[in-house]
This record gives sequence, structure tokens and C-alpha cells, in this order.
Amino acid sequence: MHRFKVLLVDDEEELVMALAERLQLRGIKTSVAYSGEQALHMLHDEDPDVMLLDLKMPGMDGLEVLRRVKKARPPIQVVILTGHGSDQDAESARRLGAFGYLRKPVDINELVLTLDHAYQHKLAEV
Amino acid sequence: MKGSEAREVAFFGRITASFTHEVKNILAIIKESSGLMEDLLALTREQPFPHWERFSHRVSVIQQQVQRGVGLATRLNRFAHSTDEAIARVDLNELADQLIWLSERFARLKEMTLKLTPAEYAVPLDTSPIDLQMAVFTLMEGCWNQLPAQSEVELRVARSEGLPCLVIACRGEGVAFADLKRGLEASGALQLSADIAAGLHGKIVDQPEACGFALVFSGTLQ
Repeated sequence: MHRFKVLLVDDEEELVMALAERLQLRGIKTSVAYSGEQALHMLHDEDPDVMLLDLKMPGMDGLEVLRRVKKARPPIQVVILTGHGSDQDAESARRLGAFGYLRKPVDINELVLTLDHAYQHKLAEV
Repeated sequence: MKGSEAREVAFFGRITASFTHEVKNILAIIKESSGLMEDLLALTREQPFPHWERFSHRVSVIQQQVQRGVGLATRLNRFAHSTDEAIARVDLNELADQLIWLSERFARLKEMTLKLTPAEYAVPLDTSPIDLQMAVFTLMEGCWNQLPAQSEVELRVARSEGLPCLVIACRGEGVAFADLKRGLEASGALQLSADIAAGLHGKIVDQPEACGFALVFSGTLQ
């Protein structure tokens, strides 16, 4: 039984595939996108509860994806997962409405907990 | 630092920072892949697999080494970013923590132990982060080059009469302050560190009771 659905967005394909499998083993339904543009196209069909989003990707960067998601689908909770982030990026993400901000590589239990909190936050808001 | 040198250092820092980001991505992939192997192993715990323990041990070794790599990449990334601004506000506790990490391998090759003693309060200083690290590292390296194997070099963050201060204290078999200082003077490390510190409104003060030296900063850079 899946608890909720997460869309993972990262251009590092091997990372996002391994993470997706690990989350599925923990009862979280996942789908993956390898670019910001692909993620935005998938929003309607996939209807995720939470988006796990990298910041630095070729093409549209994570902050722009975050801005567009929060405008188009405000209930979706966005958690940033980045290996590049500065304190300034973290502040920008918070201002744009990101629920959480994690750094790579992340502890799987911390990730699951953060995604779970993000989902609970979504339920409380709607 | 001259304008052209500052540009070169900044360029070097920018390229290094970019590479450390990529290294962290690689480590993240290794971590999640080994984590997935561990998850799958856990699912087969009750099934016959003669090499289960050995396999599981290797997975945990991979994860330990990933953690080690992440620690180093994170510190190297911060070090590279310390060239972003010629003058910036640093907390001496964070700077000392970073220096201990970056010095670990140098000290290990000399069979030294490094110890960090942070202050229980923030010790901010407006300075040149790269020059400050160079001054402290030069002094620490000068010390461990004079000490016998199995000695300890401690980096202590403090305030001395209200001024930001880093104390380097040495402990080892038969180590005497007078010999240590003579050795540092002969190697040129004491003078080099003092010259760099002077450009940061800092000076080196003898600390015979700690068998070491204090770098004391009486002003900030603008």
C-alpha cells in the first residue's frame, strides 16, 4: 500500500533511479524526471503529492521549476535535494515556498522523514 | 595579494569548487546504489545465501568510505569557496574545524595527532579567509615538522584580552618550547606565518606554557 506519491527530478539518472527504488521499498510511490522541463510536463498526468527536486540541472534550473510548480500547483510540496546549494540558494528556495532543503548525499531515513512531513503538510493544507 | 594573483586564486577556487560538486554527485550515486544493495540484502535475510555476511560487510565498508569522501569533499568545497571574496567574515571555530580536516593527511604522514578545541562562543573576524588559513597551516606544519612521531598538535580557538585568537599547542615525548621555537625559526616557518599574519593585522605570540604559539588579531580588514 503506497502512502503517497513523490516525483523525483534530477539529471543524475543513476542517482534518481536508485533513490526511487529505495523509496518504493519503503512504501512510497515514485516517478522520475531527468530535467525541469520533463517534470513540469509530467505534473498533470502524475499528480504527485511531493516533488524531490535538484537545483542545478542543464536547461531549466531547480529554482525556476519550483517557482512554476508553486504557481501552477500550489498544494504540491517541494523538497530540494542538492549537492551544490549555497546558503543563498537555500534562502531563495524557502522564499519560493520549498518545504524542505536537503544536501546530497542524504541519509535515507532523514529523506523519508522529510518527505513524510511534506505530505502531512499537504494534507493539512487542503 | 596583487590583483593578478587574486584573480588566479579566485579562478583556481572556482574550478576546484565545481569539481567538488561533481565528486559529491558521484559519492551520492555510490551511496544510494550501495544503500539499495543493503535494502535488497535485508529482504533476503531469511533465504539461503552463503556469502551474506561478507557481502553485507563490503556494503558497509563502501558506505563508510563514502562518508569519508563526503567529509573531505565538503571541506575542500568550503576551502575552494574561501577564495570567492578577498575579505569576508569568518567564524574562527568553523575555520579551525576546516583546517583540521584539511591537515589530517599531512599530519598522519608525520604520525601526528591533531586535536581541535573550539571556543564555546562564536569568534567572528573580518579577514582574508585564504591568507588566514595559510598563516595557520604554515605554523601548524612548522610545528609538526619539528615534533617527534606520536606527538599531538592542538588548535584552540579563543579570545586573548578580547581579541580573536588561535592557539597552537604541542605535546609530545621530550618536547621543549625552546627547541620547538628554534626549529621553527631555522625552517623559516615562523617568519613566513608571521609575515602573512601581519598582513591580516595579526601577530604571533609565544605560548611557552602551552608549548606553542598564539595568532592574535588586533584588527579587521575592510
